[in-house]
Amino acid sequence: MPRKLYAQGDIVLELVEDASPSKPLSTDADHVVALARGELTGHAHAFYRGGVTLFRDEALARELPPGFYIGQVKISRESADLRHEEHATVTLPGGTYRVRRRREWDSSGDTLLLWE
Amino acid sequence: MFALSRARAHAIIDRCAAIDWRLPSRDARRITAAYQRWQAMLGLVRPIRLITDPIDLPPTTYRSSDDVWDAGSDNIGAVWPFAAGALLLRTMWPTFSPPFAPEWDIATAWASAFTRSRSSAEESLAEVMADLKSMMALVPRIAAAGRANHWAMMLLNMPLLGLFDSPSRIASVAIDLLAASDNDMVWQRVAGRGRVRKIARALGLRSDGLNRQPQRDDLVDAIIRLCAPMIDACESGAFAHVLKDGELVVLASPPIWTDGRRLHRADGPAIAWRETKVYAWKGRLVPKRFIMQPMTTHPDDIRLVPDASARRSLIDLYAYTHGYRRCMQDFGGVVIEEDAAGRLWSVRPDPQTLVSELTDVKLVEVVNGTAETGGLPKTYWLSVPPSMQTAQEAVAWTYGMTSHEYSGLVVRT
Repeated sequence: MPRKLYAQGDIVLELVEDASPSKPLSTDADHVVALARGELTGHAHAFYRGGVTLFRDEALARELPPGFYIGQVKISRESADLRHEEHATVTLPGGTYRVRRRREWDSSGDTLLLWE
Repeated sequence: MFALSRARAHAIIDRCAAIDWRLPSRDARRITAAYQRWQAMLGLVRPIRLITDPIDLPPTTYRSSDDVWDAGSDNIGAVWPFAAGALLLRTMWPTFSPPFAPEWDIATAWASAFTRSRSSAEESLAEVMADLKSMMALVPRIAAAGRANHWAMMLLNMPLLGLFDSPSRIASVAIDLLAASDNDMVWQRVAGRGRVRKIARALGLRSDGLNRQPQRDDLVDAIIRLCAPMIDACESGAFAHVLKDGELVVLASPPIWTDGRRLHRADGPAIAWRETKVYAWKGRLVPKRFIMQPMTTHPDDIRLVPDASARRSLIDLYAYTHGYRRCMQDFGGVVIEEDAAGRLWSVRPDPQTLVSELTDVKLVEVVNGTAETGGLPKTYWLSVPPSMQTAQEAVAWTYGMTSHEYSGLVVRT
């Protein structure tokens, strides 16, 4: 049975086994947890209402091809909304998710990791 | 004691990472001072000349590689001391390329061949020369627009043998080396393969002066010593340097446009010196007219480009300027599969040639769950490997998944 996936633009979250946050990545004072931010637009895939922790644990991403892994997101509320300026909001049920970014085939033949 | 070296290494990494290639500053005095220190360390004494445009560098005739090397030094390794780079970089990235960043774009062509030529000596030289030859074969064609362009191309394509090098590459190699040095796994692999002395020698660290095997601290200190002047030069606005005709010629950084990680500009030159302009699309150098007069591009102009990856890049640019759907029409793209994930398109840029389908351009058209202002759903086009057979497989590939794993999709917006 494949894992449940929730995709928003160039990132995808897959529901995984619960894990305890090792060292949470930074959250700003307003409880904003940004998973990825566009270099040019500044637009972000982000949670805005607290109850969400982002952390990285490479051990949980060993089988991923290199470069995809953004981190783990733990939603300790019933659900949380992932927002982005250009995409419809995705409502995620509580749980732990592994977040990865998308890649594109580069014209030179190398694969290229994308972020918006 | 490794903690101290580690702190120093991270301070240098942070400094390198803070350099913004898109907003060059220029401090001629500091550039000169940096190069004086660098020369002193390498035992070179050359007058330093700063130039602000590649066109200021007089043309030269490239002779045999022996003449290209600095005649004042009998030790090439001492002048271009990053032989260790390849060893550590390969250990760090055994299967894929280093991270993408503008400085890598600028330098990748020469860095890869350069590190190869430095690391495994003669046996790879022939390969390097072949690469160089094929790249040079493209230069006159690409640079048909004029001398200024020609020189920019030369600058970007010729440094393979160390004739030119850029502080940006050195800064970026410094980041990689120092990050590798801080990685226990990498260190164990390097030590386990008995490469420590070789790397130490490459870094100019004479292990016979030490009564012991060089330690990590020794290597980190040597890397920092070698890199620091180049990082100073970078921060002060140096773009590239060349040892030429008894002088060390330093070229100032131009304004550079990127998409955040690659040279890229849709409406003008991606590198703009005073006179010399370089046009680039997603990290690939392209002739001026494809960027500046895109609507005059005819599909045949692209079909005639001999290099397959350049052709793919120009098709991508064509799709950007003309729209993907029109691009598919003009290049005879066909939908080869359609499923819930989207439509998989295939384009054979040169239908005259009997080539394997591995040279085809494949794109997956994905209809987003998010409606645009007009109410219609947004469509995305993603480049995927030519081996893809279904849209689902292609979309799954973009996330590093199998088709089966991707079938767990609940929602996509």
